[in-house]
Amino acid sequence: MNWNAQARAVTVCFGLVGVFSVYSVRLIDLQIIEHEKFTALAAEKHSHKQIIYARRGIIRDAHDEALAENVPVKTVVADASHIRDPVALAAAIANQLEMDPRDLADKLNRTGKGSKHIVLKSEVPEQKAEKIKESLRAANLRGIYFDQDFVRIYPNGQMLSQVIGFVDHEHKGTMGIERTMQDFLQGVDGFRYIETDRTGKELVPYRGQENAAKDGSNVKLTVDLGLQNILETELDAACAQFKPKNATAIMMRPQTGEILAMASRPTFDPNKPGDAVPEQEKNRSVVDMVEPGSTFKIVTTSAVLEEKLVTPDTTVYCENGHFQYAGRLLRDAHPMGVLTVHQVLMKSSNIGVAKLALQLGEARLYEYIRRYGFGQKTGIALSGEISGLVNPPHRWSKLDITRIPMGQSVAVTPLQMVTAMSSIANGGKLMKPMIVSEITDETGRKVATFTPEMVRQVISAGTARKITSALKDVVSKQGTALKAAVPGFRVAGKTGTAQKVDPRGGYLSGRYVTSFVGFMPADDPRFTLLVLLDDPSAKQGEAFGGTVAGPIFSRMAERMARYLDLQPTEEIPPQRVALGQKRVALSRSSRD
Amino acid sequence: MTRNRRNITHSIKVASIFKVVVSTSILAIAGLSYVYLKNQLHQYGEIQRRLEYELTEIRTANEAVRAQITQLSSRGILEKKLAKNSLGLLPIASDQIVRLNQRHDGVGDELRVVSNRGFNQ
Repeated sequence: MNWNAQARAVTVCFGLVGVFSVYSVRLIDLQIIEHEKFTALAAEKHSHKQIIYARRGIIRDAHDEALAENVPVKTVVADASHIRDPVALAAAIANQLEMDPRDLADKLNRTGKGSKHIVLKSEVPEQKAEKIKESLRAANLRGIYFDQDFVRIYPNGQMLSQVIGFVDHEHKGTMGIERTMQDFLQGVDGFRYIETDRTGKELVPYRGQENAAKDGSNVKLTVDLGLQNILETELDAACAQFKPKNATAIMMRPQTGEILAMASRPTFDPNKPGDAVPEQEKNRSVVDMVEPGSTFKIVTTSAVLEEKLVTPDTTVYCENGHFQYAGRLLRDAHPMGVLTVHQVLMKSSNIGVAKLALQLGEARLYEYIRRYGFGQKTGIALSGEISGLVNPPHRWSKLDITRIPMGQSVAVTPLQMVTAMSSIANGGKLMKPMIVSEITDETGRKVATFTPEMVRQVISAGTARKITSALKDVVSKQGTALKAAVPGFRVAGKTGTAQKVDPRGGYLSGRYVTSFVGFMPADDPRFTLLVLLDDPSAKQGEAFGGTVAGPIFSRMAERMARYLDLQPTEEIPPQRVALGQKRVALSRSSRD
Repeated sequence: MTRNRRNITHSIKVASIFKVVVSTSILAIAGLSYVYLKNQLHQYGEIQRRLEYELTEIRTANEAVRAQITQLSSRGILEKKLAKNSLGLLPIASDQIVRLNQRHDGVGDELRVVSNRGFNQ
């Protein structure tokens, strides 16, 4: 074959065209036909979705004192594909991670080269993480990374624990404010798509879509930690003295329904929720119901006054302590004859209030019970609230009309009871209890403000004044709660001593739920306070609301009045002045 | 060959060479600029990444310190310190508090003319 120059050139050209065609076909295959597949492969190898974590909002009290905070921590992770010498790496960091070097090396080896995210330890404090980084830098080792995380802390420990609640391992609120305000507190995590080089370092110019994180909002409560501290220390002292099965105390501002303090015992530390048993986690103010006992007498008494069936001076014959009705005997603690309506409440006569209820009738009594908010949830922003138990009249036995007025055959939550008493204190308005005052974003801008909400006018202001007048006399020598008196102030309140319900039916003999709910100063109330002790260990015949819960109320209210700088409206008794001088003298001598 | 044709064939085409040199230079400068700018982009990206990291670290450290301050100034800790330091503080007795009676005659808060005669002399 005679190859001339032209033929050779043509052959070479065709050869080149052929070669380039093969390359072109392959390029088209790579770039167009299998584009998606290779893009995905490249993305898998070099592109990552980086999560930008949102900070959980802070919970604060009414004076901006932090109740729940976040502490930044690191999660230590390993990328096996970047580790050259697992043994050396394990030796460098095992000590600081408080792990055995051999176990750590095994873990790194076992997972193989393909594992890019091996969690070695979570919740490592920032300072420790810095030390680990320094060790890695010094030893020139790589393959260990640190993910940002946080742990929730509650700086005040047990204080207000059942109200605040706590979060689970996914940072979701499981109870209390942490749960009810979860949507506001949690924020929204952001993300960005990034590309990394072979060492895992981000290539910023190739950064993809980015969505900034939106931090959670901060929640401000109506609770005043100063008042809460008083309430809890006194409640602890009461529990040490009386050893009740459980105890509850609530303080409310009657004009607005704001909760100023709230506590239950037993309690727990939300920093260690794993150590708590369910009984300790219960916020008994809203999740427990009890028969209220005589504190419930305010309902019937105010109803008959409001309906103008009686006046405070109308007399009721109290049968000298023995009243036979529907084949059952109703007794008073002390035999009483003729009492006025005012005195019925003041002396807490069961027979007197039963007779008033008979005069009122079942339908109207039930209506007033409901008007006071019993048998329905208050709607407070706390988890697990129950509605209590109030049966409609068609389910009442013949006896119930005489038992319900004295707080039997109904069950109420402590919060319902303090709300009802607040409505007497504020002139007859039932206020919706509120515990969250405002929500602000991370810049401090208000997201939501909660204002006091009146549910309804239960009774007129005039009737409320008449009831207040009787309740003031409850805390006097003639009444049942002299020990609830606060020096320098006029207190209005009502005692409750309810026999404990036997789960097998009937009542338990000698076991009581004692309570006192009152407000102060009586003529210009600044707060309503409830103290309730379930089954206190008191001497025989002394387990009454007036003798157990009354003094606790007095101690709490005295300290609270001082904290709130309330000006005394009454003269302080001389013995108190003498006691005060003794205290000051003691303090002087201790300083000398 | 004519003289003119010889001239055309063998003369140096300055204009063409200039064109080639200029266009090649432009291409070279463009290419080098591209590489330089790309390099700069990566350098600034690296600086941005480092600064972002430092900023995050500072914020994190700030949060850690804030949480520590909150813990150390919490009521429980302060009360423990108070008990430990035995300051001997006692609540002030009610009778030790002197309150100034508030005036309700509406005069107290008003501006009043006072005599300065004594001071003018």
